[in-house]
Amino acid sequence: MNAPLLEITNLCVIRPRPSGEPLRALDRVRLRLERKESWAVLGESGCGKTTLLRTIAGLIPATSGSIRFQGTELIPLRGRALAQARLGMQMVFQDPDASLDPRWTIAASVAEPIPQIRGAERADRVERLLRDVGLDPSLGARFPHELSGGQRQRAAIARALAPDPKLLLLDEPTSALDVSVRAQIVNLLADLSQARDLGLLLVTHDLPSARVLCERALVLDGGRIAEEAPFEALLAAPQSQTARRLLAAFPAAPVTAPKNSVL
Amino acid sequence: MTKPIVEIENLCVSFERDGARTEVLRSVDLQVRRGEALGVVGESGSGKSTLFLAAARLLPPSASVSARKLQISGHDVSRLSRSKLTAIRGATIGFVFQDASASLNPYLTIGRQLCEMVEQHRHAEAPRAMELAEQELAAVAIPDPASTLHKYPHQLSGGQRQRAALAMALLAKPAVLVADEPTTALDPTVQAQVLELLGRLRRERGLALAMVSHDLGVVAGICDRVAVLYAGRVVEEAAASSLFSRPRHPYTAALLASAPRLTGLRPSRLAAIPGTPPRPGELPTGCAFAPRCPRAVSRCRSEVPPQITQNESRFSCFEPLGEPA
Ligand SMILES: Nc1ncnc2c1ncn2[C@@H]1O[C@H](COP(=O)(O)OP(=O)(O)OP(=O)(O)O)[C@@H](O)[C@H]1O
Ligand code: SF4
Ligand SMILES: [Mg+2]
Repeated sequence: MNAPLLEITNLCVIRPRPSGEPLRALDRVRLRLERKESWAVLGESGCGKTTLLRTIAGLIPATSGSIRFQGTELIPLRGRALAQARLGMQMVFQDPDASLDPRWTIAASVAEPIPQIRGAERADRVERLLRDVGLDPSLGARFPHELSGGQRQRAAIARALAPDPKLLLLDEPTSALDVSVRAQIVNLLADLSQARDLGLLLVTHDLPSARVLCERALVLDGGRIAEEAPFEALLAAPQSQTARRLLAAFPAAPVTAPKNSVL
Repeated sequence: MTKPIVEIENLCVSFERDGARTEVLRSVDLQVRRGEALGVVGESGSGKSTLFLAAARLLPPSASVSARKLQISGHDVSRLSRSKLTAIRGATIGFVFQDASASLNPYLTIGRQLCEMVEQHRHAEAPRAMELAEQELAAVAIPDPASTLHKYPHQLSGGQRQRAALAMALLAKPAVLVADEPTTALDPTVQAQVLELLGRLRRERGLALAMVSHDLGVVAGICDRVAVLYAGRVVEEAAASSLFSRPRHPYTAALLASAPRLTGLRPSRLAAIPGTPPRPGELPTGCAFAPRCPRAVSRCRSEVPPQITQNESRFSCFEPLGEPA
């Protein structure tokens, strides 16, 4: 079976507006993500990045087009069939609290996506997942507010990994984090995607993190694809105005590695 | 030498939590001079925000604050009564925060809020107040200032809200503006515009600026001098150019080495400082950075390193990195 991991063609999300033209939040977007491949989705606020991710995750209905995941067309599916087809893709949000219930322990939240596994096996699995994301298993007994922001994001990643997905949809997973915690989470994602043969679709405005994690970049502007290129090629020679603007806004280089560096 | 606008000496702050006191700032000395931009950097929880909130006496009653000196434009802030303090606050020290909604009232139009600020600090009445408000919105480059006056905060984009909050702080004509992570929540294009604006206002108005951020890139572009905070202490302070090219404190060097960049070969990982900062109240004895420090020697774990002052810079470390050439 050689179907790509995710193949999107002509995806449109059109929203009616009370006055004037309907809004084309996504306009004929296409992409083809092979197995174990990682793509960054870049663009300015309001360009449709998050809409794209949420449409793939089924949180926003598509107006037209096709979304094939591991060879299965998702758009006509409903209910159980859709949930089943989607187990292989999991989403991680900017705010970890979006996937952790404040009234549940971390262990309960991590185990929720795998209801078919019970008893001791379940506890084992949760423990292993917590270790995999660099959390001490004893933290499973805590509630979200008893963890730091970085620890909560790790827990949210553990939960996303529970059903053993093949694709992670990441929506600004590090933007709310401090620089050093951010680096730890990016490195964790790099290790996990290696170890578990994960594909990644990463929406972010954090270019250095995207560069570590992603081979290719898709640049959106006004719901349309402005550019698609290997990440390094985009950095070296951006073709579109949009990509050039994004790169120009990156704080330019007064921060270079110090000559007497210790790391 | 002109007198500094902000003078902080031996500032200590602790918070009461569950019956216990935890110290979050420990004998901090800091100055902001006229017309200068000072950057304050450090990881989350290092005390960056607490520092200036303490200087403006804006901390909640659960905080206890002590200092040898706490002066803003000549006023002894620690001795002023609450009412006097409120009266002079906006005109001495102004704030913009990461979340602009913290300074804007969601139920009042922008115009109404700006006018209140003008009436309070500049004693101008409508319609003159409205005129000044509109001018200030134009100065912070809000498109169509006249119609923005009639809008509510939620009707503005994130970048425009941040500009409106800035206009509000500026209307009081503060001697020093504290910008606390002003661009962290904004997307990079808007972030660059807001930073450009802050730099311009500073040059044009001779405004003193204190820029609080965990992002070295943000600070590097705009600040003349930088103070590095670790676990509630200033561990190094120097002119921005020398701090970035020749840091003396290992923590500063580690922060710089881990600053994300886009040049060079594609890295397979982001550089990260190993470990995590100590939690307040659980500080190790000796140097607080010792558990994460690649240069630590046994002495670092038993004694607190004293502060060493050289020319215009200072640092606290037993094993500093090489001297500037
Ligand atoms: N009102 C408060 N009550 C109790 N503790 C507080 C309060 N405000 C701050 N703290 C504690 O003081 C320490 C320093 O906090 P502060 O907000 O100054 O850090 P910061 O460097 O600004 O961090 P960040 O980068 O996350 O904004 C933290 O441990 C924080 O939990
Ligand atoms: S005093 Fe010691 S532990 Fe602290 S920063 Fe210097 S070398 Fe490192
Ligand atoms: Mg802060």
